Amino acid sequence: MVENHVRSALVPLYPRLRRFAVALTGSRAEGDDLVQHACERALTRTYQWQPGSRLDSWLFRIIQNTWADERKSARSRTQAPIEAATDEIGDDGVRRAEARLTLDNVYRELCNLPEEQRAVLTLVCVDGLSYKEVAEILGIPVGTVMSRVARGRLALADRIEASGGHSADNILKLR
Amino acid sequence: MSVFIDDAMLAAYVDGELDPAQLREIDRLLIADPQARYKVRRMRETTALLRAACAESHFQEVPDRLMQLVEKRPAPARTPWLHRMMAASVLLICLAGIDYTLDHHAWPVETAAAMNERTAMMDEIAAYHLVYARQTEHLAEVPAERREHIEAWLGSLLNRSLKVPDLSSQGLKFEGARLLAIDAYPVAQLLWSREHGDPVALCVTFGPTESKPLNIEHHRGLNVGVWDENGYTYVVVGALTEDGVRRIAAKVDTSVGVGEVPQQEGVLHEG
Repeated sequence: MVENHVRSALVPLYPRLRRFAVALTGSRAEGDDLVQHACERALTRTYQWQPGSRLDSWLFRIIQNTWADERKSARSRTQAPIEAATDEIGDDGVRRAEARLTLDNVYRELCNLPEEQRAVLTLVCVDGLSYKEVAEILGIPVGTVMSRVARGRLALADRIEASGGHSADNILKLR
Repeated sequence: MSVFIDDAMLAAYVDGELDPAQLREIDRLLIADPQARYKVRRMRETTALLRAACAESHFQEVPDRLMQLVEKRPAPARTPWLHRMMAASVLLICLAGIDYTLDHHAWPVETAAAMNERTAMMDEIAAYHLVYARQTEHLAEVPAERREHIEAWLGSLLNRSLKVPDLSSQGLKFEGARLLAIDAYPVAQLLWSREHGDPVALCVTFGPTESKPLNIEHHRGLNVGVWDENGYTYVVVGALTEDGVRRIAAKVDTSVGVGEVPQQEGVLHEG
């Protein structure tokens, strides 16, 4: 009953899948479409998933492949403007002023990075996957993951600082 | 051995991707080179901010079209306990998002059925433990040396900050962690060995928002302690006395830190 297992795992895994899809596309709307298409594709290929292996990695790989296919096809995205992060995240109702703004800024600057850096930063820094796992998902060498993570993270740090971003003091405030 | 150290190596250091020899090289460099220390600190800060900015809670509204896709299946034999809890959690968060006041009594759980599912979960964890506890060379999937990675990895899966408790005062040595899946939901399993006696495990997974105190049951010859706190369920399992289970449970830090920036190294690792 592999198919049932995959189906029932899609909802709890959805936030992580969606986060990765948004990171790939750079747009929440396109990310939502991408994760939907990828889930549809996954359910037609459940026989390809090896029980005992990581289901999240398999689904990330399908999202990556679906995105690559969509870009190859006529459906390739237009360069959609990155939506204002403040409208997209943090639906707490009450704005926790400085801390929230700092995190909005971080998210916005992530979206402004090149796609290949967004993808590795999301999978490594946020999802906590190993370089090897990320290399398999993205179909690139481990060394490439390593260099993209380094470049992306320092570029993000530069962007955050340049946009009036953060310091170690902000981290303390956010706790 | 001399290792070429560039930004990529420093990033790999931050991400726990280096072997012991490389780690030693970087540690030596960090003592001597303030610029390298600065870069590592920036990378760690950026990672912490990124995790907070991209918390799962910002991405969790499941659209109807996905639910329709998921539900195109034969009716399941039973509604998993965790599934109900997760669905209820999503509902709770959505309602909270529109400033709706939710009475705890509205929690959509049939108590008796939920208790049966809970018992089934504890039994399954005890069964897993019996299998893993026999593994001497491969007790853990990720070894204790990668503690920082374990905390980040399993914390991310559970959308919380996760600290490995220091149980050395109980004669326990941290050996590492595994990821279990029960009803397709992630269960973080932290494992400790004892000089005399079989290994002990602490499991953490999603649970109800309502807290419940520690309750100890007997499953498959093991004492299994379970309690709920801050939206998570904790299970202590091992060949322990009931007092032993209580002592270990008392050592577990149940602060969740969802949406907060994870603490930096040195603060995070109290053990």
